[in-house]
Amino acid sequence: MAKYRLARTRFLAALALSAATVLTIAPPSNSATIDYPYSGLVEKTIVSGVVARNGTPVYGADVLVVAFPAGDVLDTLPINAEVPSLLVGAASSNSVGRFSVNVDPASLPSQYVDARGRVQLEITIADDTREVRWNTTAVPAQYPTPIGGQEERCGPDVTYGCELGEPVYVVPGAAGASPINIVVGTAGGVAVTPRWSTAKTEGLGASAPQQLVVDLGDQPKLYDVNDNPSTWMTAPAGEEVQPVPDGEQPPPATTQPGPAQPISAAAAAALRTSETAPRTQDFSFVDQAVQAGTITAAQMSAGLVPAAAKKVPCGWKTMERFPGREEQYMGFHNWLEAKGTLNQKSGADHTLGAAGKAPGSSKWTASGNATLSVSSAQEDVITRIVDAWAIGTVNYARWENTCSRAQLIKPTSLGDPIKKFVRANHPVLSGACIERYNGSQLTMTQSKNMTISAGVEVAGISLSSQSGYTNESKLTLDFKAGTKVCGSSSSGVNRSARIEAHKL
Amino acid sequence: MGSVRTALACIALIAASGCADAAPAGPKLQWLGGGIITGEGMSVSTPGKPYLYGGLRLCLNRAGSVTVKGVRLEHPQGGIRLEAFTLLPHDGSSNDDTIGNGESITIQRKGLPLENRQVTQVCSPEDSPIQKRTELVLQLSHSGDASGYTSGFVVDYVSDGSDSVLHIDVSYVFCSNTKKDMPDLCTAHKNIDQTP
Repeated sequence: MAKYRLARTRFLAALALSAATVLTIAPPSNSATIDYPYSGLVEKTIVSGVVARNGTPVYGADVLVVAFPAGDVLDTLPINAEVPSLLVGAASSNSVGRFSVNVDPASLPSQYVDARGRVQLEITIADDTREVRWNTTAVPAQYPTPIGGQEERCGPDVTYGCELGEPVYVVPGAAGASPINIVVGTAGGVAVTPRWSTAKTEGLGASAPQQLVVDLGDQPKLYDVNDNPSTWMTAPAGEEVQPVPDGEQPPPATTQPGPAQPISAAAAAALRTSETAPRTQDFSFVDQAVQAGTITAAQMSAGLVPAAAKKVPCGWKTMERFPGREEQYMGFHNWLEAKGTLNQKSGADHTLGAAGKAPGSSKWTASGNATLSVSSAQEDVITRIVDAWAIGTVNYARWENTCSRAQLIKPTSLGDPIKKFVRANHPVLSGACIERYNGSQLTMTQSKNMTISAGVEVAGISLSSQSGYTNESKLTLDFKAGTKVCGSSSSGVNRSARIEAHKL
Repeated sequence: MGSVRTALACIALIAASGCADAAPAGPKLQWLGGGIITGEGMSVSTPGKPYLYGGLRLCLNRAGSVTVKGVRLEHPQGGIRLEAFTLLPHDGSSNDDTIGNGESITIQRKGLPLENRQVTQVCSPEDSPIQKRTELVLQLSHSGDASGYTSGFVVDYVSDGSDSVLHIDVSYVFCSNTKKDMPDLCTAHKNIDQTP
């Protein structure tokens, strides 16, 4: 879809007023376009990324960030009703394809922010003709993490030998957790402590906003640099099982599920691919707003989109609902005398995959995720669990873009957090072990649980699920006889990503 | 010029908050934890009985030696008590922890030495097949009817003549066998009440 774009405006006067946050503006190109400002990573950055075309950084790629309503609005809209979305941020990429979109939390209407300050977002990244889209949930930073103020690894001043998506900075996570990659330099290179983060990076014990890698070339790619699908796992499950009363034996297995394994390299690569769609008219709307003075570069850099520029012309409407889709999310690998308890308290997070389909395409591709939380009305605790996966339910919807007719399958809310349990494999883990004595207990409340690649099935599409261990999403084992607990790491059971408990 | 700036910054930091932990002269004591397990304890604890907890892996960030002066409870509630502790060096020939968790026995009766206060093992690379470390073993108990709880432990140690501390962020709960006063932590209380 060829589009006439408005004459470029540089915003130099506005930039002079906001020099504290704006580093550069994307340079002029030959096309008749307006570029939005480029800031480095700043305190209000809600998403950063790097944009390329066939591996070459794209100068002046444009990014829009739209917010969706919080609460149960998305579940109650009538079929065919438009989802009330708002533009909350915009930016362009710099000479090495890096961008950062900033959002001031104070600029967000209350109905778009949940009780914990979280916002459901859609990010559209486009060059002059094509776009891709990503969904995410921005969460307030809980682990103040300084970023920058150190030598860059791959960035504006260091490009030799750097591949697409290699980090400018690497931020350590919690002990034993993966580090967090930052793909954009900070404004002026000084250290910045972000206010926005994602549930995934919070699960690694550090706060950093969403970091995306985009390639709009012949084989489009779109992925979260801190959520590598090659670490996602399969999680084969057997028949439904019940909690086992004390003194009783569980019924014998009718099927013996296999062990959880990393997904194949081909499947992981496929999860990083995308499909492009023609550049949305929303960019023209923002261009016109800039020309009319409705929004300025300084406002974009400050993360303050004026009310008059918030409503973009193209949105989504709900076409179909998929309520109560089963979500497989937390595994217990324990014997009869080490029974488990699953807590799903208010605020327990579940991050669930979304999928998009370009107009006219028959192929669904990964399009980010949404982090949804258990409400106080849904809280549940189940005890006496043995070798089982927890199954909850999620409400999904299929949306259609009101302009392009692109499709999106998106999780909209959680249902029952503990609907049932299904039999899990009991793995043999080769890391360190420790003995447990009768009467002792252990609790897991702080770790990024594994992402299950096909944790949810919606309309024939497999989508990912992940629920970290937190105070609200807690797993406890109570030992009633001598037990050996083994982990996946030789550095100790406590340093392991997975543990199992078997008879001593 | 850069070193002058650094020195001035450190003087300012010392004036503000003390710089001893920021740049220890000797090796730093580290805990190989902070991972998946955040809580330990007894789901039903008998007051006055000792319980052993091992598996707390300590090591140094570089070659040298530190002396552990003591171990303290952090933010204790109820009647939890740290009765004794010991340090067991491991050469890495086995990665399993030798002292299990929750055994009702004293360090002395278990036959473990009580006098060692030195840590000399340097931390091995993460997931190295040989993990040299020193195992901290705690002897804990609780008294009275109420459940006991601590949010973690503080290890006081001396490195190259300087005092320093190490925080171990694993909570321990000792659930009363008579009072159901910590329902979120004592899941066995729920087991007693709940019929599946």
